[in-house]
Amino acid sequence: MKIRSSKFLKTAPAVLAGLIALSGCGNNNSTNSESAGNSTGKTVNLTMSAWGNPDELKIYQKGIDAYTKAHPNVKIKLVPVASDGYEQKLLTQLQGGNAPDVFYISDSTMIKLVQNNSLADLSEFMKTDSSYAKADEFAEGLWGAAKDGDKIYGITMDCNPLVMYYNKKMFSDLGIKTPQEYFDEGSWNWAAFDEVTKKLKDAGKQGYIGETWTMDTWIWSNGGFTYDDEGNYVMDQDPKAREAIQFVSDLKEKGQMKYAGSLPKGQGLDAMFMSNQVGLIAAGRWLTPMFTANNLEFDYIYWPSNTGNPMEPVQVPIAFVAVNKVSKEQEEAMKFVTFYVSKEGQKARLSGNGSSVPSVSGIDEIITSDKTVEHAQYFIDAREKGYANGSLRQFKGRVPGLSERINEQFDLLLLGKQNVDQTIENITEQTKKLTQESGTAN
Amino acid sequence: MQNQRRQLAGLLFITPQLIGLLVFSLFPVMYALVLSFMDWDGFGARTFVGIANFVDQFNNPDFWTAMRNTIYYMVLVIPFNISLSLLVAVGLNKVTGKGLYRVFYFMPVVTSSVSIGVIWMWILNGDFGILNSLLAHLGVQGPDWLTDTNWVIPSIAMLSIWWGLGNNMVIFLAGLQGISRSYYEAAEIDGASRFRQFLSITLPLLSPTTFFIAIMAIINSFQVFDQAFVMTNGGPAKASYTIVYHIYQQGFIDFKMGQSAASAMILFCIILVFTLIQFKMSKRWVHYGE
Repeated sequence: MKIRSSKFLKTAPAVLAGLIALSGCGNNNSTNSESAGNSTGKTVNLTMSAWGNPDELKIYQKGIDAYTKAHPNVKIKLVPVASDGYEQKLLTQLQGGNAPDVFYISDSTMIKLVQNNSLADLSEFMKTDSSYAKADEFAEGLWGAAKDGDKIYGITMDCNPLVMYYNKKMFSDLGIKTPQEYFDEGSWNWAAFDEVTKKLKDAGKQGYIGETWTMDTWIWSNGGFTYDDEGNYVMDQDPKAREAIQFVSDLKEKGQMKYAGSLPKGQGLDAMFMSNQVGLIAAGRWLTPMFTANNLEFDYIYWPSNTGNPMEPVQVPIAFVAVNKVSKEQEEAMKFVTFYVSKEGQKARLSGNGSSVPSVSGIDEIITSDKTVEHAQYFIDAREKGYANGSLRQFKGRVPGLSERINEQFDLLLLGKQNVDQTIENITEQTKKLTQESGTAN
Repeated sequence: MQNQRRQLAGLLFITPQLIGLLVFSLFPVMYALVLSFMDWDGFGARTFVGIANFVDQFNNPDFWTAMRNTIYYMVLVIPFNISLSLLVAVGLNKVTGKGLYRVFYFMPVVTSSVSIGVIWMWILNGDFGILNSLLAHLGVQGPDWLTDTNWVIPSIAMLSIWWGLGNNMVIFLAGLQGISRSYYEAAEIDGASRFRQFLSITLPLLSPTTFFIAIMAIINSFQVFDQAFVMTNGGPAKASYTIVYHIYQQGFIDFKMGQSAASAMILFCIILVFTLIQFKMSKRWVHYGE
């Protein structure tokens, strides 16, 4: 068949132009706002990206709906992004100038975005009457890396202070005294924890499942420090910190603790807890909905303390919501963000949802009124005494990549590849190196 | 004139593909080369640092860990991959219902690496995995395949061998079908056994195919990433931390784009050297038909 090249050649340039346009498509808008107006009554379009499972996304939508109901001229599009690779996608969008107006940020990403100047400073706006939330409504330990001096670059939309979960039924079936009973006697301490996990092990169960990232809480529970309250690294000089790491390592060596890193990916501590294989695990409130849905008999308990105090500070996993510095709708985005994290916004999102804890004071009844699990109040107490990654006590969160490096070292320890002294030495070396490289030294 | 028009038409037809190649392959490669001499965290200004990123790589213990793991993986995968796929191809060459077998063997190839990874995570689960269950029936206590530092690379290698088998088998089959029957007939008349025929006819005449598969196997082995990413995150204790995982870790976890690009360039050079050596050596053992 003969090609009718003349006809083709006439149309080809147009087709080609279209293809080139398609292959190089990209907008030069500074953000995804398709503003058709502003807060003067015309429609304002905002986008917000977040990670989360379908249930969580519904919860975020509640917060958005509550805002748009009160502000009919504002349209907010929620853009769900898979948690795996969320950070990479967000950074790529920011770099390309087409990131959403508002976005979720993990505690470890926050410092990178503060450093590269991607986030709008919310501090001045939060002082105005237009802001739905005030800075002093949030516990001081929950700012993490989002607060730099007086400047505020992100706000926790809720939080998840660490407590321990224990399987009440297992304890009762095995006739082992519960952590709560120890606590009521004033003796819920390391010795009790050691005793309980030994009894569970002797009964053919796993006592406790440990994770590398909770090591700071163990150290604090012994009155030790990784960083002091000024954000100076002190772990290598602190015998109490060493003692705590040794305690965890010994638990693992004695078979009273299973290391989560030796569990296959996808076979988590939650599954083991639900299948009655383990007596104690540590987590925030995120496991509660799943456990209650499965009618598990469980309760919460403070982290065991070794200082004589009933409780010591714990880590508080958090995430932030922030405003894109180059959003065309800065003011509306800030308004929305402060609403989203405000009492009203958190109430709209967290009511009837048992997977996190309010980060703002004054609405704790959301947690405490839920009688499904007896000691929900422990979450509130833990929040008040807790520290988020990136706060001065957890300064490592302000050094890009350091948290991962530290966890790698604890991983080696708990896999039996190195001893405590070597672990501390390696962490110290990595901490000094990365802190110096990042220029974030306090 | 007519010829010129035809050439132009052909050129226009391949233009979209060409644009894709330039925009999504060639430009990123060139950009990565430029980036490997820069200090850049993915934002803001890039600082020229000369060869510092390359020097850093050679001083970085993680880089050597990654190289060690990758080479260990290659040593396990390549010989098994080539020999097994050749054996299967020879076995299937004359069997009835060849098409059906081919489909079975080829099926994993068209499955995405993530799906494969997830399925194998459960097959290899130390507590509940089907593999350890089967071994238990035989009275053997299976290891914790993916969480034992000694077993994780062999486990990933095992998966890769199974995964790549179908692809190489199909290529070998094509090669086998290109060998003329007359050679075998002549050998039979001379009294050569089946094994002798395989050694003296099949293997030499299949050498261009084997050569191609060997090159691809080396390149693919150096680029192993998906399995480690999906199944183990490079762990436990960096035991499955491969060179491409190292590139990813530096670029998208640590945001050291320059360092990441430098390790990618080093990998490119290593693959290039290996391929050149293979080409050089191929003159001795690859027999192209006249």
